[in-house]
Amino acid sequence: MAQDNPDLHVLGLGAQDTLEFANEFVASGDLANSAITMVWDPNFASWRDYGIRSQPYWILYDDQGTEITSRPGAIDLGAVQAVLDA
Amino acid sequence: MRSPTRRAATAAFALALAATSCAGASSADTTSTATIGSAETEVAAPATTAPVNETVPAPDDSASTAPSTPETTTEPETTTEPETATEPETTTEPETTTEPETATTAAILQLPSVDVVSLATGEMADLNSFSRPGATLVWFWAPH
Repeated sequence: MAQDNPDLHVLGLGAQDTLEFANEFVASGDLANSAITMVWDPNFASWRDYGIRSQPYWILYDDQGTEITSRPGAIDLGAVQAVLDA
Repeated sequence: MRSPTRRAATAAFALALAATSCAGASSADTTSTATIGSAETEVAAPATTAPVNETVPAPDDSASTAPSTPETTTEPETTTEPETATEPETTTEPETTTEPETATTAAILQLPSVDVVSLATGEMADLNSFSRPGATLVWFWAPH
């Protein structure tokens, strides 16, 4: 999706487990070569800041930094594309 | 033998001479008096001249005041310099033109300022440094 939409910046914000697990997850999903920016938070600080209590979870912001929608579970590609087309 | 007219003329002439001699004497006296007076006046003259000189310095003071006025005239020239300083303020207006650019910067998503590990480089960095302009999808994931 990120490759199909160069104007959309996808930031993968991981937490839980260990850095080793995080690196294995990125390697197994071939995410290192994707357009997704992958980072890992060892302290949960970012998740606590966002109020995230389950995963996966996603939040979509428009180009003005305004939150459009946020949902738990798989990413709704249709909802994301609608925002990009608007 | 003389006629009465001639006698009268002679008498008149004598009177005239007498009057002239008296006038001359008096003028001589006047002259001498005048000389004495002038001598005294000469003493007094310097006194009179002195005040005149005092009056002369006065104009000099006025002349001194006159330069002061030009100095005051110079001050307005200094006032002209601030006007030149006002021109740079006009240069500040382009900075106002920079504000819209700042507005564009404000459109960049603000993320929490927490330390995270970049899985591309393995280095710690502030999460906010990964923010980019444009629409953003933040995906929360866990390795397990």
